[in-house]
Amino acid sequence: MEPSPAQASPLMRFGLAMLCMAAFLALPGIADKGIVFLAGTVALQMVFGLTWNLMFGQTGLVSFGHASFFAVGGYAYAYAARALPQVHPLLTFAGAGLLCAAIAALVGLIALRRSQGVYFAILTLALSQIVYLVISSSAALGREDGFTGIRRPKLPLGWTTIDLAAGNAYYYFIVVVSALLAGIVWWVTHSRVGRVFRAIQQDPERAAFLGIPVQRYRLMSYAIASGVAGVTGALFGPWLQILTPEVAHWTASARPILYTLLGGVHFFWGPAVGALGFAVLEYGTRTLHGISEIVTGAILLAVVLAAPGGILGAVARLRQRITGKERRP
Amino acid sequence: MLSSIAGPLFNGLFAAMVVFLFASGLTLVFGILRVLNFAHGGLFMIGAYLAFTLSGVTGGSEMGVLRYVLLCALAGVGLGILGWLVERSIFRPLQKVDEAYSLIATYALLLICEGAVKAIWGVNFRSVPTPPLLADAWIAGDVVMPVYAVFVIAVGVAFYAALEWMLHHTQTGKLMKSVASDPWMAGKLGVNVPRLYAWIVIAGFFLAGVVGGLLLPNQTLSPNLANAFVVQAFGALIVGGMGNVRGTFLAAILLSVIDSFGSLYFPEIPGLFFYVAMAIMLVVRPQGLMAGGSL
Amino acid sequence: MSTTFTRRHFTGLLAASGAGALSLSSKGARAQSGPIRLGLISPLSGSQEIIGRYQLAGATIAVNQINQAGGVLGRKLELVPRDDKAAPAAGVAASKDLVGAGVNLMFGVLSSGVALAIAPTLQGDNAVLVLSAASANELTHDQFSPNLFRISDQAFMRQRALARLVAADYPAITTWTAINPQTAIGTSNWDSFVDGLMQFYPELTKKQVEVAEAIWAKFGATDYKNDLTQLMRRSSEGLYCGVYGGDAVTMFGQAASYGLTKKFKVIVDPGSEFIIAQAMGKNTPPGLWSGFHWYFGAYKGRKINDELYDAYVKQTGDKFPAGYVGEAHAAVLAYAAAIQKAGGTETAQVIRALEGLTFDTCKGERTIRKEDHQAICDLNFVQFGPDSSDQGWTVTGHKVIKGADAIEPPTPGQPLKFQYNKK
Repeated sequence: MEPSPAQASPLMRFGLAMLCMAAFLALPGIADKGIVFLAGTVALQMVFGLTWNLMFGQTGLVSFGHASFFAVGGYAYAYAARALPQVHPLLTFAGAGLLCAAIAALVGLIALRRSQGVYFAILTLALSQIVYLVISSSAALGREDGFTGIRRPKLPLGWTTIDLAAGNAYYYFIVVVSALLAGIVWWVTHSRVGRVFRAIQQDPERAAFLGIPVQRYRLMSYAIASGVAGVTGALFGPWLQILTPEVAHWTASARPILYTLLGGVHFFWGPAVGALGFAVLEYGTRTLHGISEIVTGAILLAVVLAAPGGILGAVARLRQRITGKERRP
Repeated sequence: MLSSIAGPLFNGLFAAMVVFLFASGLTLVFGILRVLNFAHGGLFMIGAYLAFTLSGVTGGSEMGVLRYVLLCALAGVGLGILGWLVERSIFRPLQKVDEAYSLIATYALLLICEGAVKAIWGVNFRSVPTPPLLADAWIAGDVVMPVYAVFVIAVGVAFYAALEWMLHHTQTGKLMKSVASDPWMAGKLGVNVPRLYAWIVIAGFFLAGVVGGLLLPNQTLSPNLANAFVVQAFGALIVGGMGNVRGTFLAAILLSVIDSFGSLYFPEIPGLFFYVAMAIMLVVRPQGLMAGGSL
Repeated sequence: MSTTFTRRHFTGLLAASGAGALSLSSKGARAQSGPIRLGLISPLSGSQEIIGRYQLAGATIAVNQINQAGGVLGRKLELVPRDDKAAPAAGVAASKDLVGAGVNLMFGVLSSGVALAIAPTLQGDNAVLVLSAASANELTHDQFSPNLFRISDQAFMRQRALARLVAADYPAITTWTAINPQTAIGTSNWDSFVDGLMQFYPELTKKQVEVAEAIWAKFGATDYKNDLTQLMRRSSEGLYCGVYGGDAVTMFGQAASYGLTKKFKVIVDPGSEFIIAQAMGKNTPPGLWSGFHWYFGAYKGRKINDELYDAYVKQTGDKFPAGYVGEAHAAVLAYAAAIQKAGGTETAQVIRALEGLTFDTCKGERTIRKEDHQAICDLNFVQFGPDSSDQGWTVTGHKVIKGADAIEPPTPGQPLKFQYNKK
């Protein structure tokens, strides 16, 4: 995250983010339903990726089980929305996120004190496998056939009520809430807390020596990231109208890691760019039946070998080559 | 009464050796290069398919044990050659950058392995019978012990013993340990680190191929085989202590035996106890079973 | 390996399907005179790709046959295949992709999870989906959608028909147990089979049936030794092997040294079709009965059946088409008949035409019930055994049971209720 001269100015980055959101909002007007559906999914995956990098890029925590919070948030929302339909949907969404944050805090309280680095990563993998197996064999959650009939709710706003089931309403809702969630993650990253996070990421021992309660901050980043990931999962349920255990599978936990690496670990927007890159890759290969794995794998490999700093790393280097000289002090 | 303890114990030991054999190549590569190889399952699968094809080429499905072992070795050699190529073209260029990026490279490699298997061998399910000499079962009370399972357990222990001996009693092993603990210092002391890395990758791939062949009679061959053991193997690897061979061996036994009993007495969620045990182990002994020093 | 369905055949099929996949750009140009486009949603990659290839083959053949005979309403059919990876999210993306491209008539779908995910989106998207494989009972019960049809059998009727088969052919085998995957479909298959056992044994043999507790195995397990040990201790004579497909191959492979196939007098399987025999060859469990979507050998002499079989062998070089080939073929025929009857391709017209439609297919005439959109169709079962041929196995028998004898009364919107299996 160090502001290298090659990176765009904050104002320009803000402009780019706004432009990206405007593009998402304009999409239903120009693209067909297939692309709009994908875009809604991608918006959530972008935020999901950002939350993973809030842990990794900021405090050096590696989680191999991030999808379990996506799943817990999703199933918790679906279950609560069915059991307590009278509760305001925004509260239910927030509740799903808070539940995830609370679980993460509890897990982190025990786990983070004891295990670190790759041990923590594998511990999260074990926990996510437990979540996966429990969901897959729980009759109340629909087993591997899935939790069906998740409705898009009506959203009472005091002066009016928006029916999110109508037209593209839920899509716009996803885009707006995703932008808000991305804003929260951005704010955490760039606040005083974020600066402490970075100090920990760069040198945890030195940070501890300076009197920073490293464990408490790590716990905080784990809880915030898991909570926001839980909300993205909660939003995904009504979007797909069904949730299946595959959202908790370890391959789903690999996704945010791959997004981050593809987009660029050292950039706040890296995971979002990576998620977008993956979606474009998969959409492009969707009709190459029978060879899509090879093509996807080969392209990924080529990107990593050609641009080991991720897509944004390559862009930054390109900018440096073009404008670097005049910017250097 | 014997059967309610001996049966699950035996079956758990077999499952443990499957996990350990699968993890052996993974452990070597992780212990020294610090690369968590996502593609290991894909390599294992290609090893199994290679052995399958070789068994067809070298005559009918009725196999002698010797021919079967030879097939596994050949599959291993095939994978070793692949390992040399991959090390040259992928791992070596990525050594210069952040370790994390090799993770995405191995994921890409896994996708390519799956695609390649579909392109070469198709998507049909296939199965190879156990060699006749290993096809029977020994029965003690009402505990059934298939000879093949006994064979796999023996091979697992033999692999473990051979790896231990090589690491602790040979010049190569000592080199490997020195590189694992401090590659920079080892390089300064005149060890050809890149060449050693190359050999480690080749050895890791070779083991994936051999084990793919060895477990061929135990599993259905399909392009889905790549994901069969990878999570358990990662678990054993880390619970054991960062790619420590002895730790991996013990962790595989501990987790698999607990899971064997757990799945028997709590059949509602089969397979759950492996991960419960794994989580508990990581919290109780966060530095791994065999802490301090890798390999 | 002449029976293998390789990539070369697969690519050939794609070329034969009129490169439908590439015709996205013609979105706005859809005129009344242009081709009628049918979207196939099928697992064309991922763990279930093997089934997707069969579905694509059957659909391609049907489209080609109809076009050679002049099309429907004077218009050609065009196949637009989309990959659902057997995953709900990808399935919904595929169906939205088709709808976005102007394709309102869709069929296929293997996984019930995918079907359950697409079903609630159909009305909003003004599209029709004709299922040709997904077998979960809910799809024509609790999760009924007016835009969803199923021309293939469902779990309940298939498993009850299998129970009828064993009651009629093995009246002496009155003790049963099972090894099932711990999954929704595993549970529902077994419950339906037991329901059938409890009805048909007393009805056909005047004997009560004794059902021992099933053994529940992990879905996708790699090791069945603990399950096999338990199974060997059961005193039952009949075994229902709910573990199917690749899992069944692994299970039977490991069971050889336990003598499982010698212990049980009858072994039945809900729907692995040729998979077990083709993978195991000489080691195929002798006398194994397997459920089929469609078995070509049972309909020799029927024109549609024989033409489909010949076209399939010619296109792929494979002599054993799985039932999915026939069901995907039948789904296209259902659309052709409905469009002909309706005189157009608008969603509402086609739905009205499909309701109550009787049409001829490779496994005989089927009628789609107006109430719950479930087809009444034949149920096929095949018995396998090892032999001394090169492939190592052969079909030793087959049986057709009429759908009307096994199906439940229609109750769309209501969960399915068992008549006999009160648990």
